[in-house]
Amino acid sequence: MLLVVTYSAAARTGLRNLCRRHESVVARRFGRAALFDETVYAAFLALRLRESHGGDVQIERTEPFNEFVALDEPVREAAAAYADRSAKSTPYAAFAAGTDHPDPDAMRGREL
Amino acid sequence: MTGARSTPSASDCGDERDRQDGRDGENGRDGRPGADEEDGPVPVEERPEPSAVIGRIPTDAGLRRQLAAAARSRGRTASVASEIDDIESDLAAIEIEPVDLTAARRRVAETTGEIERLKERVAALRGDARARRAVDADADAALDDLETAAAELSAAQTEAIAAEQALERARAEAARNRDERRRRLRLRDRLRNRRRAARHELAEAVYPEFRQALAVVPGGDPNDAGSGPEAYDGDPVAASLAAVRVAALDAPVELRGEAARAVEAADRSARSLLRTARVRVGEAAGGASDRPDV
Repeated sequence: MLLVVTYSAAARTGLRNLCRRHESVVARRFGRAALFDETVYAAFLALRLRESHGGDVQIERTEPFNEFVALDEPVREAAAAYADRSAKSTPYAAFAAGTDHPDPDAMRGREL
Repeated sequence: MTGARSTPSASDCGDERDRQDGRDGENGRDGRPGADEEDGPVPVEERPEPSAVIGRIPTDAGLRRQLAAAARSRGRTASVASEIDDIESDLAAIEIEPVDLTAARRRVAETTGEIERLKERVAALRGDARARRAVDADADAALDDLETAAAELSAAQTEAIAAEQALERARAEAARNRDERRRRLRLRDRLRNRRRAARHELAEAVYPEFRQALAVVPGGDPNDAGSGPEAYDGDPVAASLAAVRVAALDAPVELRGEAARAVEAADRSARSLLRTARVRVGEAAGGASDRPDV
């Protein structure tokens, strides 16, 4: 999908108007951002907005996240185990220490 | 492309200020009829000189703005004035370079396209050379071409890596730049809210005097005043004249059309009605020419 983020009131208003007029391309709307469908028409509308407002419009292309493709099993398991922890105040680093769960710094250093 | 005043403010994804901004109909920009999605710039307005608001009657400004201008002309300041000054100086200190990754993106696209083209060429030449060898034909020329194409492909791949890295650096720079844009947007939203709060406060402060002034100006009636600026239910021109009477304006006040006729028809002088040293009756008054100091 396309993520469109605005950085000025004029661009934000432009995005708001665009979303109102072209509801069918809008997957989600946030205050000054929106997710558009992955169609050439949606991209065309996003591009028009950027042509009007230049650097005050950011367009990014997003892709669906599949944890079974993007992540190793230990990471998925750690997320589930941590969500299920008994001591709610334990930070993840302490939770993972001395276990097989992946170290947060090690995960930070690895690209997805 | 964003001049300091040409592109106004906003805030973060769906935060409170943003929704407030959406509710604020004061600028009426949201439901502008016929507005295309390319919306014009909506600048964060300056704090106007009082004469710019009520120096010419009738005016487009709402009553609250007029009363706030009248209050300011008398030296009143809102309690949020220093906060407004702080926000303004923060805003003035923000410098934002233009973000344009177009060239970097185009270079990546071009190098990627070139690689695809060369890969196909290498594959074709390799097949060609293989086929020639299979039938014991002379493959030297094909092998030379293959070598050249492979070298070009390698160079293109190097170029593609450089292009990707350049785009990465440009994106990192753009991300820092956008942090600043977001900050500016939030400040401008806050500024707009504080200015609105200041107008409300100032208008409320002079409302009792405004109500009294309505008893004096032509067409005015204190009973129309209601409890506050949003409750005023009388003639807008009378309200503007009353606002001028409340104000202490240095510049001459210009009356046109309805306002000029109303004041000219009154049995008191314009100066005494409006408590203003200089009143000009404009040409739109229906034949009355410019008459300074009526």
